[in-house]
Amino acid sequence: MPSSKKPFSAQYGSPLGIFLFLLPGVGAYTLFMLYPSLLSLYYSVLEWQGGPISKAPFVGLDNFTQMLGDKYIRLALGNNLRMLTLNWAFQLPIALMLAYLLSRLRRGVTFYRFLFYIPVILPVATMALLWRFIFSGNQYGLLNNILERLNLENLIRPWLSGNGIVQWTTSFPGAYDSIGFFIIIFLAGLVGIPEEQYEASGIDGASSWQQFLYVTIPNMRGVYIYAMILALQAALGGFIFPLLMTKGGPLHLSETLISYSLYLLWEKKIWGYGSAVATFSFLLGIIATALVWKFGRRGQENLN
Amino acid sequence: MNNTETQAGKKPGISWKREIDQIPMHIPLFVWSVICIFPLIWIVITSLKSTPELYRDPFAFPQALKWSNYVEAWVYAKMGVYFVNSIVITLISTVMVLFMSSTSAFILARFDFPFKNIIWAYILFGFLIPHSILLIPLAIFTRKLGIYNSLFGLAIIYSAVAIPWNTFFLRAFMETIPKELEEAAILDGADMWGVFWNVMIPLSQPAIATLTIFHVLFAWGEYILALVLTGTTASRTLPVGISLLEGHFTSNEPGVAAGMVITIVPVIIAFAFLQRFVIKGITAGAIKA
Repeated sequence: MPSSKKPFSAQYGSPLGIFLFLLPGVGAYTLFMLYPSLLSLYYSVLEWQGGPISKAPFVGLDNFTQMLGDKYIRLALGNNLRMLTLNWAFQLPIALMLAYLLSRLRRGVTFYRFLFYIPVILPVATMALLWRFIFSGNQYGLLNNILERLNLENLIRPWLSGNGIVQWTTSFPGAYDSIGFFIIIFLAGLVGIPEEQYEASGIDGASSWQQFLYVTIPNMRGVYIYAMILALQAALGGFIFPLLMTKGGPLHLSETLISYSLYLLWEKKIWGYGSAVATFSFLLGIIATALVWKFGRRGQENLN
Repeated sequence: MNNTETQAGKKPGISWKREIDQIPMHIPLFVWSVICIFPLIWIVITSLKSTPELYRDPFAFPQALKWSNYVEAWVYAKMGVYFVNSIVITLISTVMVLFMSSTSAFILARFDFPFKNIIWAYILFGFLIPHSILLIPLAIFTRKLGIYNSLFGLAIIYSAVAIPWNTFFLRAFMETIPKELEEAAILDGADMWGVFWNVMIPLSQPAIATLTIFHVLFAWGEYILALVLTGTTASRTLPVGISLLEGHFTSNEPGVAAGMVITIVPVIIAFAFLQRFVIKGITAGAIKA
């Protein structure tokens, strides 16, 4: 450091020391995360169906153009969009409302917060099994049993196999699963809203619903956009519930982009094309995130 | 649960009216609590039933508690082996990720050096990488390195993929630590390692506690990397084991439920004790964004 005002830290930080301290973290991250992600990009421009990679021909963007004609890609993308719909139209609004109630509560916040967070921390594999118990067509299928008891037998459906049904029953668990997480995020935002704004609107005679609309929502904009981005990424990269509940079936009906890429990779051994599908999902997530971010900010500026 | 009234009586200075006003808010919160907790209770009850009892009425209590479901899950379906594997992997990967992230975070928080911002951006890029695109390359690469299907291999990959978030969180925390203690340690002749180990790590305890519980929950529940990078009972973890349970137990759903309870109980216990650290971590993430 040529500067005359040396930071004191420079007195004991040798270049070798800095290098050695950075090495474990940066090294492991490079080796097991960054490098494999670049390999994945590389695989997606190869025509590779197993075998030695050196014999796999380079095909440029052919894998990506092939996706345009692949009807399973359209099916899968449709399910990712269903996940996005449920996340944005159900998960986030429910989380915001519950968080709002918690923020107005004088007692029991910790207790409720504990219970609400339980679905988030449970290993996703156990949650998927649980949802299979719920939607099962066997005698013990919980949902069908409940419908029977309520004399709603006509609503009984093949929840995990019916076309037009299984797409939703495999998308819903992901939306439900993270509500507790978003409650915590929203709650942090809500307690940051100055209490005076509520008091002032209360004096003006606003009902609590009006307070929610005119005080809470404008103040929560930034946090809400952050939540929308997280929910978007979860939806576009979602695969775990379809994979564990139906293996993407029947007949690929409940497949998402990633579960389809896993099917190509493991069942069909089409590694080049399968990697391209995963890469497409990844790029789609980045582009969509950038769009939400951009429009979210523009809306923010218009508001001010 | 909904004990607003009973507590209000004990605390003087709180108006009854304000407490009663709160009751309508408790109704939806209570309903949602039941939705969150009911499945857990159902699994526990089901795990103690016999198969015919479950088929007869999935909501009824068992007539006699069938503890043998747990023995079958633990021994016959190998959940015992998976349980130990999960503990080993969780412990190793938590220690590794905390070490690797705190050393990097210490440097980034305290020193100036060439390319610092580039290295920082390079680490943060990891936030964008989904685990799903790592699967094929890692499956091939770990075989080459000889760490495919090994507890250590899975543990180091769990640590590696968690480095960006852990480094980010620790750097932000370390930057808030005042520098006086470090200066005192340096005057006493401490070198870099001395400052790191004797000053920074002890002062970073709150952040480390938060990251520990996060990583434990992640490593305990992670499914897809474990599925792809392990192949035999000897190295499978609980989440993978549980997804194989149905194959083991044809028409013994209570046995599956027992396996689920075995997987879930440690998580609930850990979370019950360390809840506040989880809340702190999520909240910090939200505010940073």
